[in-house]
Amino acid sequence: MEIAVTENSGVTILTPMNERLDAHNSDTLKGAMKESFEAGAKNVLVDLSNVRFIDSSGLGALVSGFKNSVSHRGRLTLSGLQEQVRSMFELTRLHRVFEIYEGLDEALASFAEGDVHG
Amino acid sequence: MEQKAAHMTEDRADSALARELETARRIQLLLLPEVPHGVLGVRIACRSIPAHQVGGDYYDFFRWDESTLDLVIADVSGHDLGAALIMVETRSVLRAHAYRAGDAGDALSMLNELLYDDLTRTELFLSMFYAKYCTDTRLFSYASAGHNPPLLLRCGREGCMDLDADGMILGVMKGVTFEEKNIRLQDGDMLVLYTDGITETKSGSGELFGRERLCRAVYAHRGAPPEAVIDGVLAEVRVFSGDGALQDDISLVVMKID
Repeated sequence: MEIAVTENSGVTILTPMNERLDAHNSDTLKGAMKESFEAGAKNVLVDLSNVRFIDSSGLGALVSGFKNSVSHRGRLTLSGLQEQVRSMFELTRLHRVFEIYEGLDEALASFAEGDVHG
Repeated sequence: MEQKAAHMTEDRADSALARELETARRIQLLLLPEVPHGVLGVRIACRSIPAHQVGGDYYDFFRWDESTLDLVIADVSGHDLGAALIMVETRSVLRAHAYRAGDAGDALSMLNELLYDDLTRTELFLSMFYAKYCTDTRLFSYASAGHNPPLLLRCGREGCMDLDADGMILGVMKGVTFEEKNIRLQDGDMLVLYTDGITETKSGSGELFGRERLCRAVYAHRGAPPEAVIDGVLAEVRVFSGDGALQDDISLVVMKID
């Protein structure tokens, strides 16, 4: 899976380009988040706006990213959740664990303000 | 000549691997329980079909006495050999500790603490629905760790109710508590516990089978015995998926109250 990696005001933005985040490609995203934190990034944003479908493996990759962010004292936020992705977060209650923003701009603004939502 | 020999070695390795996977499949299916006997006033059927040789789905029953039964269904993230190993660990841990849990929420909290380190190391998690049913009082108490809400079909009523209770999937955080809910069941009620392989089955055009279709399928077969309800639902899922190949593990438990 292709993941676009960009930097914006000290935030590493990872954007999966596929419509599906599942068992076939979630390892790539997992690896990209891990590499970012291991390379010293403190602020990582995963922009999910292209993802129309996520399965448990896709969620697993994001949970792994969340645990990496905690162990590296970094911050991982998500933005651009489409309907099916949002409902998976609600079913699993993962929306309580992740900082989730409507769009990229709101997520970037939160980094600029330095707020941390629960 | 050398190339031919290399192919033959590869073929032998492939068939050895296929045999080992077949053994793993057979053993994993044997680890799933048969329906519990000797519980008064319920009829149960259950089925699990892995998408590949082995999978991450799990269900179980603990019959404590003739009027007390625990039902559990779970889904480990992924559906490969790794998920299957965690499924087996979950089963062992739960079977060893289930007797200690006071209620359904306790069972999930306890399991989350016991499995957390392994789930973190293996980067996996699981969803689980745990219920305790007392046939004397007909009280069905349940808790959920981010699992698809089971469907309850009330006798004489249209449609399905979702049995949802608040709780996070297992393996994400320690110290999680789970909401415990209760509902009193009646004669003719039917409960359907399932894993998301059913609702996430895709049609040729990419549409998902979904909760509504499952509800309609179950409702259409509501008069049939539990085993036939499962057959009916699976037949509809297969027709919907077109080519018949499963994309994810599928498990179903159907319980009817008599």
